[in-house]
Amino acid sequence: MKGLKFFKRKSPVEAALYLFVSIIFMLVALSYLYIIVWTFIAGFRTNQEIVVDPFGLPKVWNWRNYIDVFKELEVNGVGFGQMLFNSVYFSVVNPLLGEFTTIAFAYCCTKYKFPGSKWPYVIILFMMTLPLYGTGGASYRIYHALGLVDSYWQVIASLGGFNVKFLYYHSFFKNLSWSYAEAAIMDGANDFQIYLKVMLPQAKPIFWAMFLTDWLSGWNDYQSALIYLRKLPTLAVGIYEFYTQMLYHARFDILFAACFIIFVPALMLFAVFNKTLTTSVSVGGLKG
Amino acid sequence: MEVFRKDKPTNKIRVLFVVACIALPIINWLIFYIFANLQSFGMAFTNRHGELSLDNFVRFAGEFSDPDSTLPVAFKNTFITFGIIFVSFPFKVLVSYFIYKKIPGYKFYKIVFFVPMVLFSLALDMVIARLLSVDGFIAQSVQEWLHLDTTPELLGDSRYANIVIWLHMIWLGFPGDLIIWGGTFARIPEEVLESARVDGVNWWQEFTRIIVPLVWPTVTLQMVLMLCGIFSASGAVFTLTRGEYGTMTLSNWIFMQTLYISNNYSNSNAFNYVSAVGLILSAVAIIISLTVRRFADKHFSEVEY
Repeated sequence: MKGLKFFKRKSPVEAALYLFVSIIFMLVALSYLYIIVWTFIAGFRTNQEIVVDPFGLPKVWNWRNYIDVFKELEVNGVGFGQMLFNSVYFSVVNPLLGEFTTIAFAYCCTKYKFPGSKWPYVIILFMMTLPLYGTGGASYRIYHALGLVDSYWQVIASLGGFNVKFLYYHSFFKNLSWSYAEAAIMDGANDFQIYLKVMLPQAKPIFWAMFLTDWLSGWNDYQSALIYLRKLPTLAVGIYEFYTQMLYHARFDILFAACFIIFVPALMLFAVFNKTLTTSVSVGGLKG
Repeated sequence: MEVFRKDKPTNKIRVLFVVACIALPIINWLIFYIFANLQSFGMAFTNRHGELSLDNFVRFAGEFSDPDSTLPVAFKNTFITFGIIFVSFPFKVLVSYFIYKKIPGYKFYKIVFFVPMVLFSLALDMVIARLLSVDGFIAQSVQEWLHLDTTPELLGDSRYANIVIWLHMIWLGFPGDLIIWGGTFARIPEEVLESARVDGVNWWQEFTRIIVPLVWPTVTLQMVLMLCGIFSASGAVFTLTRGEYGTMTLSNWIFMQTLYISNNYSNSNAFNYVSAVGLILSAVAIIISLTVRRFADKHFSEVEY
C-alpha cells in the first residue's frame, strides 16, 4: 500500500521511471539472494547432482555435508577447524591492533599541536592519490626477512596509522569538543587518563564501525592470505587449495557446504550491525 | 587543543603520551611503506643475478611490443575494464540516489545491495563459475541464442570469457559505493529540496540543478581516485579464469606473478621484473594523478570524512 501511495504522488513520467528502476532493483536484489540460497542448498546435494544439474534441488537433503566439511576439507595436513581458527585470529587481531594504533595516532595529531602534527593528514591524502604498483615483491621480502611469512606474529604489521581510517578518526576528533578534556584536567587527570577514560569511550561507535568493516575485509581477504599465509592457511587459502585439487577429484558438495559456512558469519554480523556499518562511516562533501 | 610551547615547562607525561601514540604508526609506515617502496624502486633496476642493470625494462619493452605476450592483452583488458567502470559510475551514483529518494522497498535494497561486499568473493565466484558451467541453463541458453552446435564453456573460451567477466563486474558492482554516496546524499539539507519543490521543480531539474551541483566535490574526488587507480581496473579475473582465455589484466598479472614467486620463493631477485613493470605503471599513473589533481585540487578541500 505504501508503494502505491508513493507512485500516486508522482507525475506519470516520474512514476514510470520509479517503476522501471524498482523492477531493476528487485531483479538485482533477488539475484544476490539467489546466490546465497543456491549455495545453502548446494551444501545439501551430492557431488553428482551439482555436476549434472547445477540449478536443481537435492533429491535427499544431505545434512552430513556440513559435518563432513570439518573432516574432508583438509589442505597440506591442516584441517577445516584449524583454518577456521586462523581466519578468526587474523580477521580479529589484525583490525583490533590496527584500530587501536590508528585511533590513538589520529587523536594525538588532532588534539595535540607539536612539530609535524599536521603532516600525517597531508601525507595520507597524498598517498591516496599516489598509485604505486608492483611493490608486493618488496613487501614480501620485508615480511620474509622479519620472519612474518606464515607466522601468527604477522599481526604486528597492522600496528600502523597511515591509512584512510586516520581521516575518519581525524574528522571525528576534530568535531569533538576539548572541553571534556579540560574538565578532566581540572580533576587532575593526566593525558593517558584523558584519552582512555574520556575521549576514547566517546569514539566507540566509529571505532566499532571501523573494526567491523576491517573484520569483514580481513575475513574475506584471499589475496594477501594466499601470499603470506600459505602454510598457516586461513579458510580462503583452504578453499582455494581444495578447489585447485578438485581438478583431479571433484567434491562440489563439500566445497559449497564450506562456502556457505564462510558466508554465514559475515552475513550474520552484517544483519545485526548493518546500521552501524552503513551510518557510522561516511565520506562526502557538499558545495557550500 | 593542547600545544607544546617553548615558554611552557615540558610536561613529561604529555611528551610520553604523544610519543606512545605516534611511534608505532611512524615506524610501521617507514618499514612497510617508505622502505618497501624504496626497495621496490631499487629492485626494478636490478637483474635476476642481483646486478644493477636495465634488463627488466628491456624485457618489458620486448614483451610489450610482442602481440603474443600476455602484457599487451593485459593492457587492453585493463583499459576496457576501466572504461566500463568509468561509464557505469553515474549509474552507480543513481542507485544511491534512488535509495535516498526512498524508492519503495528502499530499506530492503539498503541491506541486500551490500551482499556483494559482505560475501567472501573467492567462494562467491566459485559458485558463479559452477552456475555458468556447460550443464547449467545459462550456458545452454547462450547456445540457443547463438545457435551453437555445442554448449559454450563461458569461462573457458576466449570468445566469451572476457564478456562474462565484465558482465559479472557490472552485476556485482551495480550498487556502487552505498556508504560514500549514502553519506553524501544524507547531508543534503532537506529545506533546500523542500523550497525547490515549492518553486515547482520536477525530479529531473531537482537532480541536475540541485543535487548534482551540491554533491559535485564527492563526484570529483571519486573521479580523481578512479583515474589515479586506472591500472588497478580489473574484474574477478583471478577467481573466475586465473587470467586465462585472454582475460588477463595488469593488476591481476602483478598479483599472479607475486603469488607464483612468493609460493616458490628461493631467489629474492625473482620479484625484480614485477617491480620494474610496477614502476613503469606507477610513473604513468603518477603523471595522470598529478595532472588530474591540478584541476581538481579545489574540490579536495571541500570533501569531508
